Amino acid sequence: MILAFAVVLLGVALVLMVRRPILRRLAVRDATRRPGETVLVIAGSLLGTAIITGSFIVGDTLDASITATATQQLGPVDEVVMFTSAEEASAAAEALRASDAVVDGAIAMSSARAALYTTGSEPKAEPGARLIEMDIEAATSFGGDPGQTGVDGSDPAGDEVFITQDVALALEVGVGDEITASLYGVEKRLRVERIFPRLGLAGFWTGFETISPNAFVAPGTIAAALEGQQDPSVRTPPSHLLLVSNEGDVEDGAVLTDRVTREIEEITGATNIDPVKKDRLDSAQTQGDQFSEFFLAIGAFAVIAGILLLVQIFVMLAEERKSQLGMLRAVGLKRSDLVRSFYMQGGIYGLPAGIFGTLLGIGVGWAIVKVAAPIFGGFGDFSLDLTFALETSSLIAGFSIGVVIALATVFLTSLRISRVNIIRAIRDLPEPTRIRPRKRSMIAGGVVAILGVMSLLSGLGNEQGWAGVIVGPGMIAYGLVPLFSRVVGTHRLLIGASIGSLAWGAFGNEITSGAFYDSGDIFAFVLVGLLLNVAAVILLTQLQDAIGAVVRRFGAKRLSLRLGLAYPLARRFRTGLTLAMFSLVIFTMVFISILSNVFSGQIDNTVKDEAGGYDILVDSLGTDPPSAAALEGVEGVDRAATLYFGTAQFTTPRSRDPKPWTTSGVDETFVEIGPPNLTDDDLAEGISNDEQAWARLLEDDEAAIVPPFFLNEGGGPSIEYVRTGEQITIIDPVTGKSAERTVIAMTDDDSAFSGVYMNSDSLRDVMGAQVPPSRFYVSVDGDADAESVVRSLQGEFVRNGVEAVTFRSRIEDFQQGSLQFFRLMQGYLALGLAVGIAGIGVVMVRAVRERRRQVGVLRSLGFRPLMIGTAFVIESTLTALTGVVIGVALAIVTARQLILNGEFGDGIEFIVPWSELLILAAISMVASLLATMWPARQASQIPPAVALRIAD
Amino acid sequence: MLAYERTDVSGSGVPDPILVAKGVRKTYRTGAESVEALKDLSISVQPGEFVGVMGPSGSGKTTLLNCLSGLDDIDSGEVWVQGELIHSMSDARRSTHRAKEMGFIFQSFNLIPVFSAAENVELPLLLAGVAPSEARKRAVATLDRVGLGHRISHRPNELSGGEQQRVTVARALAGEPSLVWADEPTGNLDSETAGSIVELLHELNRDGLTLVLVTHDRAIGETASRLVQMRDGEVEATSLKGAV
Ligand SMILES: Nc1ncnc2c1ncn2[C@@H]1O[C@H](COP(=O)(O)OP(=O)(O)O)[C@@H](O)[C@H]1O
Ligand SMILES: [Mg+2]
Repeated sequence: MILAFAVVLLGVALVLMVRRPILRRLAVRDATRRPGETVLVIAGSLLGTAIITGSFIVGDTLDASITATATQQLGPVDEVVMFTSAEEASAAAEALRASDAVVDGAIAMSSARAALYTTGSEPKAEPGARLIEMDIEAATSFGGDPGQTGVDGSDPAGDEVFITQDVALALEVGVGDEITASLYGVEKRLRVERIFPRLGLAGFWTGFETISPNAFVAPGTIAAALEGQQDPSVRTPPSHLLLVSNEGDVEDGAVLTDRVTREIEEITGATNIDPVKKDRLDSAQTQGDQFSEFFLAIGAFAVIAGILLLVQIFVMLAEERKSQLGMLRAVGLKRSDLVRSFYMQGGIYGLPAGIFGTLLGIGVGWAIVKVAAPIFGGFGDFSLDLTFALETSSLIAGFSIGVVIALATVFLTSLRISRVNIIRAIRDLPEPTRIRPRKRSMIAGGVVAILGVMSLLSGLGNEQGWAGVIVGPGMIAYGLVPLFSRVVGTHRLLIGASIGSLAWGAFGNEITSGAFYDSGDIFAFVLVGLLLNVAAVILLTQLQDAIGAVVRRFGAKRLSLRLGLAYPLARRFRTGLTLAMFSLVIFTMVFISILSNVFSGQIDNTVKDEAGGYDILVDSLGTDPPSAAALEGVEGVDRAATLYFGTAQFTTPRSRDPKPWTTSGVDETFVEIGPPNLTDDDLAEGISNDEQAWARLLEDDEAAIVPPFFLNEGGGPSIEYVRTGEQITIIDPVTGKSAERTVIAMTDDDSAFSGVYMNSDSLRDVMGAQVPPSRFYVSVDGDADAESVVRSLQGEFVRNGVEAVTFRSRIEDFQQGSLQFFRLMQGYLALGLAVGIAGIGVVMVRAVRERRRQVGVLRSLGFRPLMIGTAFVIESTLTALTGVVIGVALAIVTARQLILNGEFGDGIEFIVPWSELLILAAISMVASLLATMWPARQASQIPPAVALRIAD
Repeated sequence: MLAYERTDVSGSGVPDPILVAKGVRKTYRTGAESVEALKDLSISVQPGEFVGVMGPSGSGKTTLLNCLSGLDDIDSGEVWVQGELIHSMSDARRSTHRAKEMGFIFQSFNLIPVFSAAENVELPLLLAGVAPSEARKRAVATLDRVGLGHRISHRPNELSGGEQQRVTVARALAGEPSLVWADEPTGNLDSETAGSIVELLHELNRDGLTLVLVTHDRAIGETASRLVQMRDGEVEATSLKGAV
């Protein structure tokens, strides 16, 4: 669609060029006469296209990388059904195979979590492995393509085990080595017979991990270990699954999911059918899209800067050719012809900018993926292998959007600039300043104001209406300017409207109690940034007379300074464009920089919030957890609280499809030792502090405390699916049993993924043995070193599959990841800075050319070359500096407001990373200085006699 | 108020010339072609003179002005202004010298569009190091002198052509230079306005201003106290007022 639009726009340019040779000559001449400048213009505007294309490619990559995990961990499996016994699962598989359902595979599988380890001088362990019993022979051709199942051969014998590559890596074993499996407290020695890849059934895994530590054992192994268990209710029972493959290959089969789900229901009577493949593919798509969107939003500032640059260039072009244009109009060229000529020139810039921008976009995307890959790969078992991928549709979309933006910008700009009065243009007279606003602009203002009122009203009380709430008041304020300018004066009105808009941008979110950002849409932030920057720039251009007076007073003797400032102060519109271009980009960069610093400065706080009175997080096998008392017996451990822990399905009022999330059942000990911090403003009615909330949780079987980011997947800003006071439904994925719980509070952080808290009775009531007491929060003795306690715990409880980590290092790892991500975004934004700097370069090159004659006059008056050069440098540097100052100031105010309002969580301290900001400002200043050096030198070297001969 | 003292360095009673040019040559080279715009030109200007330079278009009048004022370099010869050899100075020194000794009036008025009339006029004063408040006072006084006292804070594009040219004249005078160059100052004006500008220049000359005026307009050229006729880069004839 967008491509068609782009093609039409380019086509129009082409047709015009063929049909109107005179206009073509005009357009082509201008573009080819100054090839250097044309290159700069194209460079400036292609960055926008590059950013858009790059963002799409980043999304493609994430999508493809997650989709790749579907091949690795699901393979042909499209649906999974849980049964309570192996017999039921087998019977269902058989029934399905015998039916005429559109499936090409149905197989039963039993599995249980176990610890695998080696003994000897350097023992290794894989605490979270899964032992699987499955008919390997039948599995080989499951789904019709033996190349996708990852398994072959026949069942392992009693003392044999087939392990996946992931297990082999963790244990450092190969074929023929011996390993030990501990399952339900029973140790069994096994010999590695085969090693399977992480693929299809061999790699079958439905947890959050991206590795598949599977071990295939002889039939009956699990049942044998289960015999003689004393307390089955606190052990996760084995799971008995039916795996179904739809007709079609690994990815295509998913389209049949709905139909196959119905067929499975009919044939087997099961109701809890989990469409794993479809979910995974959907989630890949969603996460890819979110990722793209995120980068697009961040990049939007650079794209807008690119648009401003384009407008700027065409305004300058029109000014430069003003008398020429007037002449052409005089000899009979219509106004629309001028628009056409400009438009053609836009096409001449736009097409190569689109093409090269798309190509550069591939590079940008590739670079982001390169930088992001180690970040995504740094989450241990949850790491994601990012492999660069791009879809043609992304390239087409990036190209098309870039071209459409460029041509639309040029078209609208030329509509405005072609409105020249012939006589005034030829004689180079100024456009008259209108005392009275024209009727047209009064009507337009009125319409804008009314639209502003409407969008504000419709936006309030509607979560998706944030855009209206953000821009509404600004539209009203600026819309009213032409209506009242006769009474109050445009100048004052504009100042008022700008101050009002600035205030609204900074404090509006607070005033409307969160209407700006509640939707979680990151583009709200883009819009606020735009509003603030535009208002600030308008305000500044209105204050220019005051600024000019100050400069005259203090800089009267410094002629270069006066000269350097006189031009930007006199050319409001153009200066405004350059300022906005710079301030927008700096605004975002500073904002991100503040956020990243604020977050990385919070480790101590976060640890305190999340760990409460604890130091170490311990996870163990649900099939064979140790007891809290046993943990407390370890040297250095003070106390250990038991959590009944597992993964359930949840729905909320704003998330109707069941999604998996972890959940923990806690009791008095947990609360007594020191539970995690809760978000202060999110406590249910009647609860005034953390203590009361936890007490309520223990006594109220209907109560739940939810984590931040609850049910959010992937990156991007979090969506609030549930609020305090609302109900959530928890569903046991095996039995399908469900119950309602009321949210009474929210935790501040949850990097431990303890998930939704309930009291243990309440949770076990729904989830039964699916939530074994396998997680522990451990506090250490005052003088003990937490890290060495971690090592002792892991060493002593290998058989129980204990994995221990200090809260601090867990949180540090997380922060490291997000810090790197912030760095990535900053690098990305640097592209926007490049637009700004290229822009200043272009503007100054043009300025030098425009003013050659004036330079000659100044030289004849006795200005030395150095003074001329200095004036140009001062002009661009001060403009850039002003842009930087506006951007920095607005970013600080906005970030401060958001942080102190608790948009990013409670109790976060606001820190301004001054040294980083200084470096950022210095880099932009030096870069824009360098961009001006050349034009300034050019200007200073203009020989006066030559310059004076230049005709107007 | 603006009186121009005649310099008499030698004390001989006959004032030393402000400008002496000897054997000046200037050739423009563009690619393979070259134009000899000044061929062995010699001329001198005495204090208080009103020298008219006339000749058909392309005869080298503007080149003469540019070369003798030091705006352009010369190929050979010498140009002395107030006893200094201007072409052997560095560009920077020549600029400073120019700011002190010369004023310029051009055909297209060449004001700085972003500065007001007063700001334009005070530029050379500030360049010469005059204190800002003093510079402004003198700029306003000079504008007053050329009849624009009521227009001091207007930008050039808010002034008529004649008014703009008066601002240029004021700017050329403000620094109290020893020599003012005018290149077709009336070329862009209607004859009536042109006449009033020429009249203004004569008035200033009567007050002591030394002036070299380049024009192709015979009527204006003939009002000069000395008329230099140019043709093909050479002085064809020189005549004193009334002798033509
Ligand atoms: N920059 C230049 N390059 C080449 N030739 C030039 C240049 N400037 C002037 N000329 C030539 O020098 C000659 C004298 O020009 P000019 O001094 O402008 O004459 P005038 O002012 O009398 O009309 C002309 O033939 C003109 O074409
Ligand atoms: Mg001439």
